[in-house]
Amino acid sequence: MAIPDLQTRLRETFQRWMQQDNHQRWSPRHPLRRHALEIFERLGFPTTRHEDWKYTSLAPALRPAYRIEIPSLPDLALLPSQLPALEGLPSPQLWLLNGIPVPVALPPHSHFQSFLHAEDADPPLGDILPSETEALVALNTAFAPDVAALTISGHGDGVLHLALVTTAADEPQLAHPRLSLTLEANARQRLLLSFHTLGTLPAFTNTVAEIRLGPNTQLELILWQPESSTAFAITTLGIELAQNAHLSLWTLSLGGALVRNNLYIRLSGPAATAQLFGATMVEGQHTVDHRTYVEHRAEQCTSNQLYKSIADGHGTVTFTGRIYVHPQAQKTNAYQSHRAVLLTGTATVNARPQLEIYADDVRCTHGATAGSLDESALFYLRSRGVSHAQARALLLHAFLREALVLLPDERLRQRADALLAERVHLQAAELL
Amino acid sequence: MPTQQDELLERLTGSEYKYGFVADIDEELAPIGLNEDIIRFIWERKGEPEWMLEWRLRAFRHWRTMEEPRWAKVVYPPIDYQAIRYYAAPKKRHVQSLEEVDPEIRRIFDKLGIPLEEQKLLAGVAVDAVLDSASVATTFKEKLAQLGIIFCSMSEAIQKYPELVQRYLGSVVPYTDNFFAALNSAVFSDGSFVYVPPGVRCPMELSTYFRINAARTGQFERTLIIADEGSYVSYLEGCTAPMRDENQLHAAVVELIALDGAEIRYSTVQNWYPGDREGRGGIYNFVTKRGICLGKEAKISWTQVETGSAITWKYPSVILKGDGSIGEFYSVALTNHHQQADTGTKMIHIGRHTRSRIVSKGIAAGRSNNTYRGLVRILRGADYARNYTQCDSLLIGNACGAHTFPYIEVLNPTAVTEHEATTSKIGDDMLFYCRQRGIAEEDAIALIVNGYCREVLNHLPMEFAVEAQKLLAISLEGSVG
Repeated sequence: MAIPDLQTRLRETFQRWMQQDNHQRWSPRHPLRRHALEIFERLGFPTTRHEDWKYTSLAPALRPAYRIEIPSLPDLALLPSQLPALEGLPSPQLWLLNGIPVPVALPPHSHFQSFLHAEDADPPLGDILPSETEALVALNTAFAPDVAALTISGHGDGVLHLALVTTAADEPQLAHPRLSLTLEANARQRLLLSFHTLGTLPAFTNTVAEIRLGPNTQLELILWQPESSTAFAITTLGIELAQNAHLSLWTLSLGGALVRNNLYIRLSGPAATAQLFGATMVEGQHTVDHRTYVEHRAEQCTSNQLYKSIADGHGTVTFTGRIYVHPQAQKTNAYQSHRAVLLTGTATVNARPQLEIYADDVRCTHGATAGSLDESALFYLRSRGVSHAQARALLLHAFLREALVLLPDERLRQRADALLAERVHLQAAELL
Repeated sequence: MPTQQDELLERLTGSEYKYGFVADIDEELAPIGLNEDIIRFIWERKGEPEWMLEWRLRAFRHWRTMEEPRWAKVVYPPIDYQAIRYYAAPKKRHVQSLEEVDPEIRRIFDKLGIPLEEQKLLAGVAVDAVLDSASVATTFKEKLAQLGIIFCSMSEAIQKYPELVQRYLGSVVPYTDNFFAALNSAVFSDGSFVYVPPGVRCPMELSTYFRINAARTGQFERTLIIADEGSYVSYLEGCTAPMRDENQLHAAVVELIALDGAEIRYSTVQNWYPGDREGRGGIYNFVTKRGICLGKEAKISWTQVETGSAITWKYPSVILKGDGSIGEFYSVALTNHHQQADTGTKMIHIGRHTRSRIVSKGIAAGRSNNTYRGLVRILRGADYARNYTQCDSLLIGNACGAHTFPYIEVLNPTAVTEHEATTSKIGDDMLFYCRQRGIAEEDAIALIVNGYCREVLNHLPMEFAVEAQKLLAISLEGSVG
């Protein structure tokens, strides 16, 4: 039995850390961490009997004999050349190496702090996440070696790049990166979070990020997910928006053995807006599972979700989106759409678009479709002399691209375009 | 300060349950509680063959190992299954003609607006009226018999057509299916049985009325409809219950079987007692309804108008097994005051070229919660399957909730599924347009809501459409503000 095994090892490791605590990092004796361990012990790893995990089994991700201890840091100078997925992306300004934050060249309008020396968390940790009910959030709180706390004030030019790396060259590795990001009032930032695996062994990255957007802020956040087929990536994001805050979030999921994204978006101030986009392609035995929970807590907020997915090979795409409108959130506009294409008879698409609404003056819609490529569009291209393979690639590329057209940074957009093209086997020339 | 709308709301929601009356009929009661002796009691009273006792006991033993489902979005205090009376039957039985029916029973049906004779003469509807648990009167039997159609009570079918019952009972909803289905299998007292022979088109709408009467009795009816090759039948079911303070449990099972080219239409108007304005009393309606398109090109269509019950837990489903078979689900669910509804459908596509269509309209008012929960599953072999789902919710007032929880599972690349859902309130622009043309607010709201539900109401047979519209008028006009 793999599951109790890892759980037992985690417990033993934690107890050992407690005993030999040398306060080099965030102390395991911190009450928050001890409480989190208790929660995790009580909940255990989720199984498919758990409604939220109905379609995605964690079992394969728990099978490898992970190293729980944090290995020594890899050589920063060599790192960029060892991570091919960094190609075409701006160079990282903050690394999270197996969860340990290493700032490199943070811009002046940002303020970085690690919890290494901080006794009390400020802002408080875990209060915009379901910390008491999500086993993996609790696991992260208990085991995160440190918290990277970043505060942004003013306007940032260009893209701030945070690269999360899990090293699995000599042993399978379990990592718990933890990020706390705050945008102070009127701040504006473009942020890229890229996920990488160093080495070819299984890497389980259980990331938790809490993001607070102050009044009149704007955050453009891009999740650039792992491509390694030995990567298991669970990413939980809690984002709270104050009055008139604007969030745009893109999730690019083109690989990974198991990718699960839990997005908890909380619109707490009036007139806040959140836009979520996702472009997903799975093949082989890969699984990508998107879960969004958009909570409207204040009046006149708008949320919009557009997820486009392609399932190839034996891959599985799951989308579970919940729009929750509180009684006081009148004049809400909420939209959600998941569109999926299945390419093989062995692929699977599951969709659960959900609405839970307690206010009456609202306009909420959701749509979900699944099907194959439009035969008439294929025929149109074929009749103009485009080969079947290219016609198919063109259509698939265009299909996925719709979720990324609003990507703000020209360089990122081009890189994403090229990646999509590569994945659907589209010749670069035909992009023009 | 109350606005004009509030006043209107107050005045109209005040309409109390019209069908709340208790009739004094001599009833034969089982002792309260549930154990194997009670099941033997029911079995004995009904004079069933030995195999039925075995089946019931198997179901009961299985039920004892099960836990009550808790996943639905409904809240209710725990049910004490030992505090329920599981059998109540009117004593006078063996009626030969309508005239012999207990005048008291006739009076109840008259109050409900379904006078048997009138329907017999004018509407051409054969009514198998079920009062509490046993069939009281069955009409039009002879006319149907000439065509070879069997339309009788379940108890009669067990006696007269055991081979059909044995073959199909529990074949769509086995007693292991879920908690309430297991309970029903153990204690069901009666219900309707329909068999339509090959190639026969049933010339009239078959209809039954269920009514829960005695205090602290659950009603557990069991309906089985079999449409043989190339046949057609339309079945209507209406439900009312008198006012009772305690919550009454109703756990029915309906099984439909459509063979090659057969079509079954099943329509329900459910207006059981929803409890009072404070949420006291009312019916717990925990029903398992499922049909299977066993044969090629078969079709099963569910239409439901749900306005009653304190809690509705009901998912009329279709298993599309035969190639080219069709499943439909049309639903209007209205909740008011403290009512809770968690209803929807399941469409399981197994065969090639199977098609399904789901149209669900939810209306939530007062302090109620109205949930659509549905599943569309396209299995690997269901080439070219097609599903279209539309579920709309209308919210009236800001103390209620409207929820949509669809599950879509697609395992076949040639299948196409589409799902769309909207939630909104009645558009101010629509109201304004009507008001501007001199239509009173109340009428305008009725008009808009009627239009909102039309797509579903249009699928009801004539006899029911009228009643359904009346029902919506009573419950709806009042709740819109």
